[in-house]
Amino acid sequence: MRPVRRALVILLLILVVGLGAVFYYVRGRGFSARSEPGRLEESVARFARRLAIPAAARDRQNSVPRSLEAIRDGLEHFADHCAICHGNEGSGQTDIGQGLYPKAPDMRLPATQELTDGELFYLIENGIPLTGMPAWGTGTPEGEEASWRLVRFTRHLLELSAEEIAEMEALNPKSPEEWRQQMEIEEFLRGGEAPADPPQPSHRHKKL
Amino acid sequence: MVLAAGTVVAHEGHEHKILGTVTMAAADHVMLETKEGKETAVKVTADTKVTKDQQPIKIEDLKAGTRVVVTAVGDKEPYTAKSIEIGEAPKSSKNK
Repeated sequence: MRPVRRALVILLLILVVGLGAVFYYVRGRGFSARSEPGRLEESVARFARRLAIPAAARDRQNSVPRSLEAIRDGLEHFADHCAICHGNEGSGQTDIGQGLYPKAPDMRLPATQELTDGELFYLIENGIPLTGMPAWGTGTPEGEEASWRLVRFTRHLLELSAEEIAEMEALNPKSPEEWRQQMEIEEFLRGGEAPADPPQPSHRHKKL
Repeated sequence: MVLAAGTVVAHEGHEHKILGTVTMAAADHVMLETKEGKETAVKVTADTKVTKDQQPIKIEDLKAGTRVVVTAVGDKEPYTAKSIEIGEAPKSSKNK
């Protein structure tokens, strides 16, 4: 019994120290999505993510052959569904992407590009818990094909041209107010009558 | 360069649009004037993309009297231009 009791005491001590460390960590960082995950947290999260993706899913091959059409479809889909967080070029430099915890990654970097096609597909279909990445899977063959095309486009991010980015900007979802702003800008650039006030964002910010 | 801009909406680190007519352009900044007559300077960096009809052009080719839409970032003036989209000279003589 004595060894068992000693083991329990040690376990209790480890638990108390662990909870204390978590408490200290949380209190020190505050409660804000503005901060960045620490290296340890990021490493643990990436490890857990890798562990959570079944080996069979990781090794799946892209069922959509590489083609201009597949990349084009992926581009349109990405501009419509993904760019609001990831940015058209996949940099993650958007208001929403940078406000998330963890922040939307630069998908052109090795941390994303070194994932297998199967891993990218799995993450698109199932999302990533405790992040801003939702599960896009619909459980249909059409949905899976769209995700595989997105995987093709994710690889294409490394060679995205300025013309393609301009195309995507035209495809990005816009509110009626944003459409009005765009029309005003186009009219202004054409040399037409300048609006009384410049286009303003649909979200509120203080005026200088 | 100097651009003339209207009311500027600050986004504290976020992007915002400045519509204006170029009054002066240099390699590192542009001056703009708005319909209301306000002048503002916008910094130009190596990362600033300058385009006309979606084609890249050199900042040196920007002429006074040209209308531009600047996508700017920064908390206070002078803002930094992330991109400058170049349009035509205003049809109205009011907007020089």
